[in-house]
Formats: sequence, C-alpha cells, structure tokens
Amino acid sequence: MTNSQGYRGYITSRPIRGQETPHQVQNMVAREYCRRNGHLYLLSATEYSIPNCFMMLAELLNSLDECQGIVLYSQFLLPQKRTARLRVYEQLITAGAELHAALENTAIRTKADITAFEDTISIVNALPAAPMGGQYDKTIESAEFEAFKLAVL
Amino acid sequence: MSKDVESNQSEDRNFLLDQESVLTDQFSRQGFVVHQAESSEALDYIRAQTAIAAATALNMSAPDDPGAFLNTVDQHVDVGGLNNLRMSVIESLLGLPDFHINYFNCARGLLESLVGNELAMQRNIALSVQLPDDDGSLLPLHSDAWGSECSPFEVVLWVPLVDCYDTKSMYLLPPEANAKWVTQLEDYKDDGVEALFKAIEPEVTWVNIKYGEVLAFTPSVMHGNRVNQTDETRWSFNIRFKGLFTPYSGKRLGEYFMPISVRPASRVGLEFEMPGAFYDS
Repeated sequence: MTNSQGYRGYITSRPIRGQETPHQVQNMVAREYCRRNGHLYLLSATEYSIPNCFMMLAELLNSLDECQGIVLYSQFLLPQKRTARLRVYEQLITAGAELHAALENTAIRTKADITAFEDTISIVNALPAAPMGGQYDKTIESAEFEAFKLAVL
Repeated sequence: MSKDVESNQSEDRNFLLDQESVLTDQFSRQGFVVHQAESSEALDYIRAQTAIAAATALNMSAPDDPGAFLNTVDQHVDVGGLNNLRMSVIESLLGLPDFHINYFNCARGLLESLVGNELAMQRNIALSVQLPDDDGSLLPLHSDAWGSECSPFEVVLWVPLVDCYDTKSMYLLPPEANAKWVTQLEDYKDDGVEALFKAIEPEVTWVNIKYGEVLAFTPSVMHGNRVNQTDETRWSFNIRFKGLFTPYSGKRLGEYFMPISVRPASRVGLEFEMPGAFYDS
C-alpha cells in the first residue's frame, strides 16, 4: 500500500487517437477530474514525443510508493499492445495504487475494474476493422450546403 | 419441407421475432417508438432520485409525491435559477453508481430490438427541464447528424418523468417527410431555421407520452421543441445508445460513449492474438 497522498498526472506530447491536445488542456481535464473526485492532484509527468516511448510512464510506475495512483489525461495514453497495458495494471494493483482516466471518467481500483476499463480501449482499437472503419464521415460535396448548415445550427 | 417454404426462407434473411418486426416497422415509418417502460421499479427509482436532487438543490425536503413536485417545480424556481437547478440535479444523478443501469433497464428489450444487443451508452446525463412559457431552454429544429458530432447510427432514449403532451413534449418529422424536406433545405438558407420549421410544421408529429412510457427515436430526422405553453413543467432525460461496433462520429467511444454490453464472442475476438512468430527462413 502506498503511504503518500495524491495522484500523479500523466499527459503526453504525442497525438491521442489522431488528435493533438495541448498540454494545458490535458492538465486542465486531469485537474478538474481530481477536483470532482476529491483527489489531490500532483504535478503531471509528460511523456516524451518519441513514438511508442513510455519511459516517463515507467518512471511513474517505479515511484508508486510516492503517491496513491496515476491520473491519465486519457486511457488512450496507455501502450497500444494489450499485454503491455495488462502489465501496467498489474504493477499498479500490486502496489495498491489506482489508475484513473480523466477524460473518460473511469478508473481501475481493483482487479475487477480491469475488464470494463480495457473493453473501451480494445473496442476502439478494433473499430477500424468495423463497417465504415468505425467512423462516420460527414463530409459532403456542396460547400454552399455545408455553409448553410453551419449558419442554421 | 416444401420447395415454397425453402424459397421463402432463403429470401427473408431478417430473422426478427414478430414483436421486433412490429417495432421495426413503427420505428422506420414514424422515426420513433413509444413503449411501456420495461421496469417500473427502475423508472420510479430514477424519478424519485431526480425529485430528491431537485428538492435538495432548492433547499426543500424530499417530496412525498415526486411526480407532482416535478410537474409543478415552476412554483419553486424561476427561469434565472433553472440552469443551476438542472446542473445540480445532473451532478447528483451522475454520483449514483446505478443510474445508468436503471435507465437502460427502462428499455433494455426495446433498445436491443431497435439497435442491437451489443451497445454503447452515453456517459453523461442530458436532462431537459422546461418551465411554462420559458423560451430559454429551447432546442430549435435540427437533425443531430447534421452538426452536433452525432453519428446517424445513434438512437435517443427519451424518458419523461411527467406526462408530456402538446408543446410540453417534443416533435419530430417522420422519415418519409424528412427525406422530402432535406432536399429543400437550401431554399431556406436566407430565411433560417424558424422559417423552415413553419414550413414543415404541418407534417411534424408531436409525441404524446405519459409517465411510465419511454420514447426511442432516431435523432437523424429533424426534431426539436417549442415554448412550453402548458401550465406544467416538463422533465425528460435524453440519453443516446448505439451499436457498439457501428460507426462513431465526434461523440466517440471513450469520453462520450461507454460499452455497456459486450458479448463473449466479441471479447474472444478482441483478445485474440495470432500464435507465435514464424519467419521466412
């Protein structure tokens, strides 16, 4: 069990699900999540922008005795490979720490929470193989019509 | 088995149950289905919790009759205080660990018939409170698929906590009329949404629905509400559901939708990994 108070934030410098999110916005979301849930928010660690690099996450996992857990900006900051994610969960649970995802408002507190947490990630990862690539594209041809819709909505 | 029977079977590949076919026909024709809530316990729980949250926000004690209290809440709050009340109620309900499953249980079978048996559900709670004559809580005519990050694969489960009728309710344009009017949208580009509403008004359907019933509709057809000209307050939730593996738009799985029913075969597929590494030597 950890002794220290507070949850360490974890944000990234890489695109998340294809979108760039400013560090400031990631921190705001994580901080607000902690406020709503009555958690003390500790300064966040920022992952390197090097593709597939999780050195900063590894550092946090090695320092779990200094906090109550980790607050990810999004659960999609975790490694793409399921086996790698499972190792993260295992390390946290063994240390008696929690893993929170601020954007998705979800958390792993015990082993029983892993399935629901993992479902969202694995389904999103599978969606490109679903009909229409899992994404409905609203692009239409008429720029005039598009402008109209913007105007009236 | 006769040749005719075999032939019929091979032509009909939509193996829906009779009840599902009835719902499918209604939904396709009207754009919506009104159905008895499948769990009155779940619905009563939601209404009671909502009334308690509203009373708490208004510094009142829990009402003996939640329905009557909600229906006449305009006696206790004015338009200026309405949004704070609404947000306070939403925050209270989001704190209930069993709100979502109770909401789903109000229409589990209906949603599985209309949408599918592997579902994603909206995480947040959308609550509409419309005081009599309040023009500040209106949703002008729109289709969700046009511009609000919604995928046309979504269905809205609209659950009233009070009887809703006439302008206290909502309207929508049935799919056939919607298809016709969509082709004429450009004619209204200078006149705007209100002019478009006036044009389609004779063809819209106002949904009359009582407490104890639920409404499932496709938000891809034009719909909205008007100033509530009754002397009662409307309370209704609207929460989206969609097939888990159907296309998403800006409202993504994760921050907006959450999986609520993953079947074991899908889980096997999601977790499947090809064995070993074979290399061309």
